Amino acid sequence: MSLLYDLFFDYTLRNVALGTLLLGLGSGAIGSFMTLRGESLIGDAIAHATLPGVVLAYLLTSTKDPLLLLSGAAIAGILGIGAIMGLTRTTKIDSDGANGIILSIFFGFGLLLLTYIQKLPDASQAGLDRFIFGQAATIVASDVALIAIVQGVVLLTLILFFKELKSSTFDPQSTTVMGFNRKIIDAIFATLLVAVIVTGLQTVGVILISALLVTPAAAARQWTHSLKTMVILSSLFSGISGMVGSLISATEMNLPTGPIIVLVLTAIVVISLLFGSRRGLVIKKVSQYRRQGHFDERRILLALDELSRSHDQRGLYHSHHTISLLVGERHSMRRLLAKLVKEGAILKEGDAYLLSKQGEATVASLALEEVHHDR
Amino acid sequence: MTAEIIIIATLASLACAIPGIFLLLKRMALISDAISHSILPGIVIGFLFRQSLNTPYPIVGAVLFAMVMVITVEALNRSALVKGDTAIAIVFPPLFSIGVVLVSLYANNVHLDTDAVLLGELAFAPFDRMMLFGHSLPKSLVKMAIILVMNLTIMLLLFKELKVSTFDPVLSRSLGFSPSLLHYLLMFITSVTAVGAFDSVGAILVLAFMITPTATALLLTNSLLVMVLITFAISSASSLLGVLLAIRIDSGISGAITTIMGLFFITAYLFSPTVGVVTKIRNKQRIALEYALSIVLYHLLHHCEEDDMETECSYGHLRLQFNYSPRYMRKVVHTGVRRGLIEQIGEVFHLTESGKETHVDTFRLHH
Repeated sequence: MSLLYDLFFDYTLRNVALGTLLLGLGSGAIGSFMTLRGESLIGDAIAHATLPGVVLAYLLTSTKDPLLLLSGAAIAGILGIGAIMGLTRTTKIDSDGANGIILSIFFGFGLLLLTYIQKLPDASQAGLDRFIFGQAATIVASDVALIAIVQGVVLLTLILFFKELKSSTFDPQSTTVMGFNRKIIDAIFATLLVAVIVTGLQTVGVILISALLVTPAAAARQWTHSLKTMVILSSLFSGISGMVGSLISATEMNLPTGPIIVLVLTAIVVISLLFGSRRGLVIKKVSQYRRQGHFDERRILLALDELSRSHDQRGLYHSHHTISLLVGERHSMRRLLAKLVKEGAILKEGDAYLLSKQGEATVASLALEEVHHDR
Repeated sequence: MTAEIIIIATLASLACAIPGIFLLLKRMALISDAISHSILPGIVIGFLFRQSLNTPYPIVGAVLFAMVMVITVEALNRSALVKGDTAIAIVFPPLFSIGVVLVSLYANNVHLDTDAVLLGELAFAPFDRMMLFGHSLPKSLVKMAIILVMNLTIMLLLFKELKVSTFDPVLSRSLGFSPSLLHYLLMFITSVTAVGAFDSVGAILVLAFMITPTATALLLTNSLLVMVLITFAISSASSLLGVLLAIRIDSGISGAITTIMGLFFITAYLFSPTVGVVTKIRNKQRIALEYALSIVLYHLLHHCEEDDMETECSYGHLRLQFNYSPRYMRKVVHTGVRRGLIEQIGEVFHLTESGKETHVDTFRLHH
């Protein structure tokens, strides 16, 4: 309960929880588009590419005003995403390679600058490296306001351009045919992505921000086939994980916020991959099992029908063994037979079975179905 | 000491380059980034086991975690639940996070902080020394030398197999080399190299060392063997220049080396003789000029020794006819004059004898 109390009345915790919640809402939404476009790792590359922007902004202005540093980060991020798109278009380097190259060149250069200013006698640059790892605890109310504004604008733009982004994600050619300018849509997408990443730097840092984009989207995908639902779910997953993660990390163990948020998100994605209602592994197995069972039931009925036809005398009961000779040995045979008896499709006497009237009707309808199929 | 740092940097960059070449060509460059992040928990657990980084446990732990990552990613890709790089992007962050959490829980007060692991510091490498055959050598130097020899041996022994499985996995299988075995071998040497390099280069820039020189080489050649040689040359040159740059401006070494590698890449991107951006623009301009010259020649031939030659073949008329800017028109005509195809008599241009012949040739070529 004290955690809930703190959530409302502890200044730092409130800022952190609110900041990560808002960040998650935006990142989950734009992350869905990023993942569906097959560019899951571009977020990681852009995040790393922002580092030289932060350091150069500091070098040029000698202030640590977050707005200024983040503007530097945004410019570097835009340059990075432009360079990645340019490289994949103009050379034989694939998107993986382009991401890796831009990531490493930009980050390496950023690190060169960072280590350079860290050794300058003036010590005021201390704390710039928090952008690499993120320090949620340093967030103040003005940072939360910035996050809120940026995420608000991002979500609003997503809603306004939903149709255009949707078509450019799934069918880039049709986008052009429908008369949207693809370059402009791609630029809007890139800008939104950079905006979300840049606002996440202070909280979760360069390395883990990509997880806030991709992981909730991958989780949401398992529950729905509709883009709208996926975007909303992904946004919620990311937002909730942000808040839950920051609360967990605020407990007495004093765990780092970014990694905990990522672990919460990962728990969600694991659950979704296993139990997701649309594609989840468990659901798939269960429905496969059900289909198999249904199929085997029909085969038992057909086998009994065939047995009764091949004997002159009607009303003979046939043993479990005989049926399994026709259907094939199944572990589930006893269970299925018991189920059919219960449903009244077959009659049981000792270990032998016979089609009931109802069972015969089912077989007849199966045969009819087959005739329909054949036509 | 500078010499030692340069040697360690060169060994590390060469060792990284070998798996990097094949990773880039197999279009899976970022798996090396994922590996270098995923090994963190393995290193921490191995470290906690004996409270020291100088035991084999961190390396064993790291390789185990790298393999866990690779296998999980492949299982996810096979399940078709996620597509493309998504599997990589959702598997390595939690592993890395576990590593960071473990560090903050257990290793806060000892020599193992995330800064050192992620960013690396080559400058301290010469202080950590060991005795080998009566010589005192930095441990990192010995470690990177062993890894480089291992990678080189594997590459030399399996060059043909790696080449075939990289470019044509189906052919490779039909020839009897298992592509998946080679794939896991590649993943294994990538992990071992990443572990070996992480404390000097840092986890993030392992990626830079692995793929930037290779990508540069890819822009310069189409032959695998030449590519390997160019990669090695760029890696060594970047290490040398990077260390010198870092000492000169007093910055971190791995960042400086990566920056030099980046400069090599940008240079190749702009000026590569085959695919460079500037080269392509120049080629386009050259073709445009050739075309402009050939139609001017055709025009001159058409009006040569006709009554309207005086007006049709004057500079002003040519410019009106083809609608070129004065500057471009002059350039076209000058090119013709320089090649001895056109001569100017008064205000009128004439085809020279060789101009007529050349033109007949191009005319035949076009029809």
